Amino acid sequence: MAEIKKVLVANRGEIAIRIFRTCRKMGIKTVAVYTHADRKAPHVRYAKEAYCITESASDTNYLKMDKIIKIAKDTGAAIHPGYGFYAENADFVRKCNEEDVTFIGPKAEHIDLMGSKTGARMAMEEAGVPTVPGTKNPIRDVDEAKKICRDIGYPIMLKAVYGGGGKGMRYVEKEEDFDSAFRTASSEAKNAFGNGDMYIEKFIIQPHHVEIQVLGDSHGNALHLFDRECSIQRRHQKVIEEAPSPFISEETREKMCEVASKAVKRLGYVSAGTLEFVVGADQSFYFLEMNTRLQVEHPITEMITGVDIVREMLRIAEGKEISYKQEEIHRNGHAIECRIYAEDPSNNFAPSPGLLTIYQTPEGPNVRVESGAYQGYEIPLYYDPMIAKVCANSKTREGAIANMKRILSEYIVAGIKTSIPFHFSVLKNETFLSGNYDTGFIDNQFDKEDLERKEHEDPTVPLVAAAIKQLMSEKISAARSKTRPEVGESDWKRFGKLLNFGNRI
Amino acid sequence: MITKREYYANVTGFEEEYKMAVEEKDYHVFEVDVMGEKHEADFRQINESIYSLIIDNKSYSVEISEHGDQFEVLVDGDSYNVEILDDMKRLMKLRADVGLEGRQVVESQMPGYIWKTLKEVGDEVEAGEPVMILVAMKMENEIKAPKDGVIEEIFVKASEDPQESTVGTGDKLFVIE
Repeated sequence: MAEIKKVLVANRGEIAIRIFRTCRKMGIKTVAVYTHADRKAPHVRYAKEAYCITESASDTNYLKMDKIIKIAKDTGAAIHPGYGFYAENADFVRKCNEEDVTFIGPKAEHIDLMGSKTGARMAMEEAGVPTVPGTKNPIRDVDEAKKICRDIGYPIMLKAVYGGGGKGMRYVEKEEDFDSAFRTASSEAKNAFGNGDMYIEKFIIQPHHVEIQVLGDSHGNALHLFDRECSIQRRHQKVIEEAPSPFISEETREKMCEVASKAVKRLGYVSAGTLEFVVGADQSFYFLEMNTRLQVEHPITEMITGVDIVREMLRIAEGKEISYKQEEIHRNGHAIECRIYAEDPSNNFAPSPGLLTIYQTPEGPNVRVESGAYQGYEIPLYYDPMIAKVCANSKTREGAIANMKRILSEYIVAGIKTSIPFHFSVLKNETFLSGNYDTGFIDNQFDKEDLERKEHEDPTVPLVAAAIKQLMSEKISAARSKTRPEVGESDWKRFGKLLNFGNRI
Repeated sequence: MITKREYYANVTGFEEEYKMAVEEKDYHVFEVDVMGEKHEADFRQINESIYSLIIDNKSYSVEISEHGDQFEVLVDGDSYNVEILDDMKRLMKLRADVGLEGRQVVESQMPGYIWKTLKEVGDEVEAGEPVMILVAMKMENEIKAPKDGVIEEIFVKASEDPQESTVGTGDKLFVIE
């Protein structure tokens, strides 16, 4: 594998810039790709070369595999996929291999393996990673199924084998409810997916989403970079993450990290990856899935370990060894990430694209901002609503929360709505502060009224501000209407006057 | 030159109507009377929408966006919607509030593009029934009928090409009678 001298990021926005930053630091040249809609996006300016991959403005799609790989080949660049788009796309990796373009990421076979839910589960079980107890095969005999449920213990979930989107899924609390739940869920699945096959899974009470960041190289080395808690989610999308998890015990952490790095070694996994686990209230943990990409929330891990994950990915792609040994990785302090979405939290997180009339990012100590926006930037309608991520760190969790509040208070955005008010409410929420929150947090423990609650109960300040602004606007329009006649007479009036004059003579 | 004005103000979420008087005392210095309480305010524009406001020596960084008589004011992370009306406008509004039924124009609440229209002109719809689908930032949003009625007019043409069916906030989508 050759030395990487140039990197093309097949992505946009903040993640493209994040990867370019490491490249610039390492003296590696950078190539951006963009669509017509993204001509003015900041990643285009950050890179030293930029190639448009769309034919016209009506095409807003970044998925131009052949074009992107050709640009990389012609410019002599390796490709980093970022997250989304071509990340976790095995075909893309294979095409890169065929064209002799270095892909900065895992092997195609591992992407394929982890892309299949059942394949990933089986591979992980073989590698000694615990998975959620349940049946592997569709239920054929109801009595047999009930016996399995008794063995793994209620409550359980019935899930459609070919299901998705919440259809054909039932929560079963006790055995008496099993028959009717099975009947209705199976018929629902049959109607929706054309197949009524169901399987059983243990229902995890108060589930926490905890993940382990891992790295593997082509020399068979594997290590973990500790854990992240990502239980604050809306629409199954993460909003706030922290590292380390405030919920799991040291003992659980040790077990999870060990299991994860062993699995990576056993699989021969190469590059950065993440094992996602669901952790129950009783600290039992089960493998959910493996993300075979760099994740949005990787900066908090970088903040507590000091490891530049993108740099390691580049080195691994060059065929080098990871530059650390496991015993050199230490946890230092606590870090939190808030994702800044262009959306309105008080209107059910509805998207809010538009022109950023004001955009000031926070400064000062203990802050890290990765942003894909700037003042005067029109956030396009066509892409992900995440415009930036903000991270804060400190020695303790309390310190990191205090820092984050200070940092967010300096984040000033006008022209669009953002998730910043939501973050403030969460950072003040008692359940969040206690450190024991599960994935049901936004639905169950978060009072949406908190978003409306104001720091100042007295509206004097906004009243004064608005009234003065109104007076000044009235002054400006009064001045305008006064000066207008002096600008000059309208041509129509002059025409009329001339006509009158002509008629008279 | 206007230097003094009296206003009636409403703040969303607050019951009261606030009677106010604003007087420009000096360059950028104002005396503002809110319900009989007088405040001295120094008001400076920092950039397009950020202002430095010092009220009785308390300092505030305020963001103001103005839409006619409606002001969205952001102070310390709190957002307030303030309406400032003079005598005339207040009267007009009081009159307009009486008798607004029947025809309703539905406007877009967010920028996006109309991906699909589910109803046609002349269709009968019930309140809450989706009439069209607006796509913004990869998310589909149903635009629902605000009341029972008949679709009288549709102003937008749906298209899968975003360029052909882009709408902005406040753009008219359809009329329901």
